[in-house]
Amino acid sequence: MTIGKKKLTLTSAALLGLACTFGVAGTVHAQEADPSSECIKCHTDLEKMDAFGAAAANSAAGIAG
Amino acid sequence: MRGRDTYGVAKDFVESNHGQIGCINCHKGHNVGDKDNAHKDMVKDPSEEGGGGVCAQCHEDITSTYKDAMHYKLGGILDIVGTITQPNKMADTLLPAAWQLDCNDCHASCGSCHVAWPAVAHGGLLDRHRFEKTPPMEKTCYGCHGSRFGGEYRGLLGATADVHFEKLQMVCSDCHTANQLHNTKVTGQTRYYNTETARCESCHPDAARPGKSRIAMHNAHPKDTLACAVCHANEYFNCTNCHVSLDIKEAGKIKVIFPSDPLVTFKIGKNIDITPNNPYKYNVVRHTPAKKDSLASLTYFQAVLTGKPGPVDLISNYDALPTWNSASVHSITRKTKQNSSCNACHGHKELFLTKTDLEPGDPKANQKVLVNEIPAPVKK
Repeated sequence: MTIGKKKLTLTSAALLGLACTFGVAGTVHAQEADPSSECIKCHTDLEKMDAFGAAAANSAAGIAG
Repeated sequence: MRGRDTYGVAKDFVESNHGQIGCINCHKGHNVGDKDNAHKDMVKDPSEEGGGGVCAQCHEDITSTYKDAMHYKLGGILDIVGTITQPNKMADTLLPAAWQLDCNDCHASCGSCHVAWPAVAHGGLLDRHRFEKTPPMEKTCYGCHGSRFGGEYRGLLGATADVHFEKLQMVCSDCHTANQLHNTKVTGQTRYYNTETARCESCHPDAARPGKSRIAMHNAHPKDTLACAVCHANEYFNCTNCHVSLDIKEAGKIKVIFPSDPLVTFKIGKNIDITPNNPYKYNVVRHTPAKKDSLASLTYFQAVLTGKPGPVDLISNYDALPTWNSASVHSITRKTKQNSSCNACHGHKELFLTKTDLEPGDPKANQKVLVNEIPAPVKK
């Protein structure tokens, strides 16, 4: 194999590696769960949240102005 | 008034621009199912820090001024308390603790107008975490201004509702624009800061042309003599004889309370807060709920709570500021008792703040507000 062919092979391999790396990473990223999924799952359960809210809310009065 | 919708988040919010940022990018915490671990290190109000918090990343144009604004810093209250308590040092008193327990509840972050009820109403989401570009008046403005301003505007306090509410259902932001609210930089202890604020003549230009108005009474009074409210406000609510105290009946729950006496009246006084936005010689004046010994109980409680009594004369500079102050009364109507004719006002001493309205022990600064010469009746 000539030096020129070796360089070409190495370059191709490097490019293939990069493509695989980013391609895989991209796939992983796409498959990764929403980083707030657990928060959303719980906080959009309005019935459950309202039960918490009813327990926590206290009466208060506006006072100034 | 109480907060509500405390924790529930609408699904359509999750899909909105703000929702797509993701919960933990603003609130921190952890994306796990266990409640305690999820909320560990969580930031309840991510808009609080520095007058904008995370909002500053996209709304820097607003947060750059809001960090100094009155609603964020409560500078007006701080300036006044700092002035009347001189030369006492705040650090030697319970005032910083009382501030945290109570006064600071009216401090507003971005979120406490646009996302949640203000702290004074015990928080809670306004509408399932949906962002409200224009804060709903009843839930947010009235959280802090629901007593005198909100009360008289709706006719719940004083003589009548404001015509802007009764006939037009106008909301606060129809006059008090977002740009003004985000820009009220406090520059002193006067009630009217030298910042742009709501102007009646923005909608009523004819009224601002004394001598050229279609209305005879407007022409009769030279420019910058009378604030609009002098002729167009109705009797309004005042607080007097206020004494700050602490309610310590329930262990571990100290509340600041301030019982006071009500006074419904209408008084025209000299305007000592003259600024470009309040240039009038006379304005209506409202009694500020303060007495020389209003904070006396804090000295007592300081001794009880810390074992070391605070300054005996906490409001030692009481004479410096008046307890009758220019007011933005929100009970405006076109026709009022005092504008029904020239002599419905001229010659009527009871409409003016005079020495007979003052009480023994009132601050010396009140003298500057008195109207010493009542306008004589107009001869027909």
